[in-house]
Amino acid sequence: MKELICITCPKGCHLKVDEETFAVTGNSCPRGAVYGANELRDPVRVVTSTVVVAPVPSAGTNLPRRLPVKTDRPIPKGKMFEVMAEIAKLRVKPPVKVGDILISHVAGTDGNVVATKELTSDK
Amino acid sequence: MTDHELVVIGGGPAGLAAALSAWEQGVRDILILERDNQAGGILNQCIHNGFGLHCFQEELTGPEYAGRFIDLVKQTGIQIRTDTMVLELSEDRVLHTLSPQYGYESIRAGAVVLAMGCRERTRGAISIPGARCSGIFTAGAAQRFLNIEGYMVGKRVVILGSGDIGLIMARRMTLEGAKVLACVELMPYSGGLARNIVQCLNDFDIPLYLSHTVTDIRGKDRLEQVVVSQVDEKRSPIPGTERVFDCDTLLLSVGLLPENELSRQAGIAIDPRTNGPVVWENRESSLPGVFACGNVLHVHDLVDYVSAESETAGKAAAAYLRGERPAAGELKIVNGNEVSYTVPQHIHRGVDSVEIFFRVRNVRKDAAIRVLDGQTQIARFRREHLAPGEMESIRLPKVLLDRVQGDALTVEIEAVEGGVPRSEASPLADIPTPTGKGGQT
Repeated sequence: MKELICITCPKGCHLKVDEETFAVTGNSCPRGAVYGANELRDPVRVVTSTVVVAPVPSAGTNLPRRLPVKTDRPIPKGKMFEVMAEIAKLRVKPPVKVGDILISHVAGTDGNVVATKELTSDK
Repeated sequence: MTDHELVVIGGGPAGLAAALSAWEQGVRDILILERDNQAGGILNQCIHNGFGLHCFQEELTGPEYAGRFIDLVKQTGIQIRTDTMVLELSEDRVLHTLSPQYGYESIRAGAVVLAMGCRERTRGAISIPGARCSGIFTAGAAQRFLNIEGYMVGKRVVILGSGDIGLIMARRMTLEGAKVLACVELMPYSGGLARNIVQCLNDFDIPLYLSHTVTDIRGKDRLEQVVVSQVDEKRSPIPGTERVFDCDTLLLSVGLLPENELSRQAGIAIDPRTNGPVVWENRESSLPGVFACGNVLHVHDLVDYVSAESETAGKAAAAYLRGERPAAGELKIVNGNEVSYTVPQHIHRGVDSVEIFFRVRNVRKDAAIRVLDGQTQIARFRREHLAPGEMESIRLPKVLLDRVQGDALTVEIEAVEGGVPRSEASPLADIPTPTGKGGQT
């Protein structure tokens, strides 16, 4: 039995996962069972970061310097730094809406990097 | 002097939710005053995910969570005035404000919601000795530099305090290429959420030193070294356990303090246990017509709870503006064994069911929360797991409250024989906690 803390939500259920059958106990919702089994087989994480907002002369100083982003689904834990490297290369300009895809299939995963905040040039 | 029915001080999650709830209750003249240049409060810099599971049943980042509320506010006639600092709140609900757009203004409010949030404890608050070099930041300040302004604050980092912001910053700095050498916690347990220990420290093999603290800071202009020592049960450093970390940055995540300068000036009663106003179950403070919600009232772990609490405050402010007053009669809520505070601190007799929020003093497994009317137990709630870093709540139904004989209810953790068991079997114990001395440089 492997003991884990579920990270699906802030409740942090204390899970016990069977290493052979991947049966989960201690979860208080179905998401915990999925997390517990995945964490032993193929751990995944959502990556969040920021991207550089390219200066737009007409926008003056109202434009924020960074736009927050996330992967729209959890990606393999081992790919986190590759995802970060791709995000670091990105430059965005307004307009961007929440949920707009900025990088699709980031680092060869099935996740996309999407905006988590609106970016407009008028304040 | 201008007049507004409801003035909300603070445009973060608490202020936005309180204003929306008052609007839904029919209040049509609502003004939110925000000192930053945008609404959303601290959520704007909390770019990580994990917000909104209670409120929206999905996992959102901070900016997304704030965005949902800002969009809802935009669909109403609620006014948000940014870049506006409230200098003073008087007992008769006159606010004195300053902003680049309107200059000095005084505003008379029919009701006020205090939603100013909290701020971080600093190096000065915990008196760390040593050099006064650069490179020492509160975790939240570093978070703002990185996520909003776009500056990395350092390359080799030690984090003091295992509160959530410190843990989140450990991951964030690591992902951005910094080396986080250690997270150092004075207490024998972490002050952060268990999930953050897992996904912010364990994922990146960052060691957590429990029962340790920073005992010296070295550096001429920029930070060069910090000295970390183990502490005894009285939290005093143990000589001979020092270890030295070569680092350029120290982040402090050593607690949050509700920001109540305005409340104090207005003569509002402050609870020394929460550092927030003393409130009734409807979140009304000791000053009639002034309500408080969110981190200005007590520091929450989850923004979802802030939103829920702020709805209560907004609704109550609307009721106050309609001229409704709760029935007289007070029932005090007292913190008993192993409970450090309760919110609300007192409730009106005859109210509907009430949710009591509190924090426990110790990590416990298979524990029970008891509610006592005098010496008589009137309710008991089982909990598999209790920790000081995780806010607890219980709901007391009206039928139970109506039967209360005394003038106070005590909320306590059921005592166990042989003292307090620490949850040794907890997965937190799996985190390497080096005990011997040795160089970690």
